[in-house]
Amino acid sequence: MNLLTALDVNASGLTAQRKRVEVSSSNLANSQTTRTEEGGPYRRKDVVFQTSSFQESLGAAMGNGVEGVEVSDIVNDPRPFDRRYEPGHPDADKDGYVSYPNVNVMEEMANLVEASRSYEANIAAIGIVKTMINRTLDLGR
Amino acid sequence: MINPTDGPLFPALEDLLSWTSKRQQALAANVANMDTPGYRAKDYSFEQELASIDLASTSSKHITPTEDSASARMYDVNTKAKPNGNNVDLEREMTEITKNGLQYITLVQYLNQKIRTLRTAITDGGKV
Amino acid sequence: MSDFKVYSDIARMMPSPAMPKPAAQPAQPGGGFGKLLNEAIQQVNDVEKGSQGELQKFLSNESDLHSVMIALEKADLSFQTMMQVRNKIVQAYQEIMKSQV
Repeated sequence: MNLLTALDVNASGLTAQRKRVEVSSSNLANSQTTRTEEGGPYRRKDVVFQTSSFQESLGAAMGNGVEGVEVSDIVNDPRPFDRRYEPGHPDADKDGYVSYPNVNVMEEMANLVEASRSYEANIAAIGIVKTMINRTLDLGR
Repeated sequence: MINPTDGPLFPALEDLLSWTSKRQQALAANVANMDTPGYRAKDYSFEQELASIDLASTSSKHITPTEDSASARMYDVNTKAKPNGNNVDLEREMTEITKNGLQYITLVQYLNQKIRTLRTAITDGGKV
Repeated sequence: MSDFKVYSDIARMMPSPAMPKPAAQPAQPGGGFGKLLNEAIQQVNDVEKGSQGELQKFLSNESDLHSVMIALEKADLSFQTMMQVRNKIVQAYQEIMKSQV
């Protein structure tokens, strides 16, 4: 049903933005982590958004591929680590430099704000569709 | 015999509702993909269908959105793209979603009025 | 407007002069009325089936919610109309029964 599909599409938006927030929070929480299990400092991660087709759930009724969104991958940020001179630090290398994560706190906060805006937009769209469905169910009463 | 809901009105309203709810899908997709790189915003335009509906006519012509007619009506929203290739303008989408929702609810209201009037005519009309 | 049509159609259902003797068939209305009622019931049946079909389509995701609701209302209105027609017919029949004593 058309309206229910619209709900699914916006729900996929909510899921994708939530994952984005999770990854961003992880970045922020680990912005000072100089030692990870794999060795070396924490490397910033990012989500990759991609359209996801809704064909399967609709049978023949659709056909023109209205698309939701999904997180297709979580990738490492390739930018270099932040090297600081701290010779007393337990993770310092032989030159006395410690590599800190390539997380920029300002950038991460801006990312969170954007994700929040997108999340809210999907919520608003869902709210309107819910009203539409409710009014349809009241037909005849 | 009598079927009080015969005539062009009910099918026309049903079709309009179908189109409006179909459009909601495209608008929803735009909002969901507002951050997807390379995504181009889509919309449906059915002004042509709206204009061709003649509520006073006696034929019950259906213009339900089929697969072909739906994609024929789809168009690219002409807004500027951001650096990542995504051209979704959130303000535009939210405005259109609100307008679309209002259109849908208005149609449902109108339909409801008609049904209630018919019901009154049938049940009370029998009394002398 | 369709409500006037409903009025006039109900009015047309009023008794016609050619009626069988009540003594012969007290339990059944005459051929004219019975046929009318049958037609009405048949039509209601068809609309009812239509709304069932619409519901089935909705459950298998091929139809819209508003289509189902409209089909349900159509079925209900048809049924109401049929009930009114039936009432009128029964009323008319009873009047005739009274007047032929």
